[in-house]
Amino acid sequence: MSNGEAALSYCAREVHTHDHDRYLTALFVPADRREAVFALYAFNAEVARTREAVSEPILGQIRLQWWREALGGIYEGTVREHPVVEGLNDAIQGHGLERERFETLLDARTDDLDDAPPADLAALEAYAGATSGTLSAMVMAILGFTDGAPVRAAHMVGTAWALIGLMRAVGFHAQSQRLYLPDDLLHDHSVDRRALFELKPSPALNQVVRDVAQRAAELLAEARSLKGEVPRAARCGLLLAPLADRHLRDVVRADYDPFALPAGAPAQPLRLTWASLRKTY
Amino acid sequence: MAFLDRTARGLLMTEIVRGMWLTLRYFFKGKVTVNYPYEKGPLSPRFRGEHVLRRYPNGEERCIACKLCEAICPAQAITIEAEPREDGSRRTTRYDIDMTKCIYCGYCQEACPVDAIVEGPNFEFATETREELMYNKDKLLENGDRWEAEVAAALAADAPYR
Repeated sequence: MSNGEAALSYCAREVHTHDHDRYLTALFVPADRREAVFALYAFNAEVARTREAVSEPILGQIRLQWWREALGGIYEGTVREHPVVEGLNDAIQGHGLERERFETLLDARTDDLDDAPPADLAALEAYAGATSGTLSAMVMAILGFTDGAPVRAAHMVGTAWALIGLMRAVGFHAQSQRLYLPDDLLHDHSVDRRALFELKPSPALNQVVRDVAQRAAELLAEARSLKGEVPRAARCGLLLAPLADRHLRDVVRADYDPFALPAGAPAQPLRLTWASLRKTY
Repeated sequence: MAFLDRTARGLLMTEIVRGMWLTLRYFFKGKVTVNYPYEKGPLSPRFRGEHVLRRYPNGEERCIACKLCEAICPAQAITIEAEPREDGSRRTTRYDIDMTKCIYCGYCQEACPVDAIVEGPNFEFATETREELMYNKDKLLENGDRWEAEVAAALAADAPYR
């Protein structure tokens, strides 16, 4: 551990190791709000890995139930002893985050435990929106914007980020026979699921990935069309968008083949700094 | 003709020369064996070996005595007793694992919401007596201190996408 890391809080360190992209975007949030954002992202990292951490759905439900009760405790005044829960407590008390949003997020993560693919693109988008979209909207709430264009833009950026993330993860999920591609699209393009689970690329699969990636690009464009209505102070909460652009470009360059993507995309602190200086996203 | 062919090959010893040539080639190739126990083979990050109880970086125990691992354990190898400490925090006073009962299914690790109990990468914990396999909290925490780096790396490697 370097000295720089030792100065970070537990939550920040967790986000640094498990969710580096969001860690970088959190650095551009004003210093007095940053700890709250780190706590939120650390909470997300904890619940997002539930499906990967368990072998049986019931075990995942146990873990998520623990988090539900921990959140309930925060709202009812008994804070469980866990650095992330304590961080969340500060964030919730300090910025008045709504309990419903956490419930939405946890419910969507419970759906993770069921390995059936989403029925259609709308269902996939709803899942992405409930997880990552909600998370971005909560960051907006920490920045002090609880409704209107900033929240809508944040929700769209978060959703697009999750959609692109899921497309990048097609190979990873296929390894464990999981699918986050719309069922009807898979059917329409007659994708051979067995071949997909054997990690074999196919033009039909690329078609499905293209449809989803295009929806993500639409969402990003839509979020940017709201730019005029998003105050400058809120724009630092939308910095996932420039990172999403980069990943989207990789997907397009690979001709929408999820197995041909570069393994680890390099971090892009300079691009983020530039976007942050220009107050854009 | 087949008879002549075979006899000629036998007399000229071509088979043995070919065989020796193959042997000689392997002589210069890299070794496929490892010098265990000084060298070890690769392990999956999901390898389930000896249990460890982890601590937070500030030295505090992670375990909050929720007893989920005790409840989920199919072999009933875990025994926990807990009471509040002087500072009001809930911690275990006793955390025993009977390693002779454990079936290494990994459910304890999967059920633990705070990643306190983890099956680490250590598979070399043979003992001379049966009693030594009745692990108590001190032993488990000591294991945790010893394997923390490996365990943390394995947990991070498991879920690369968010």
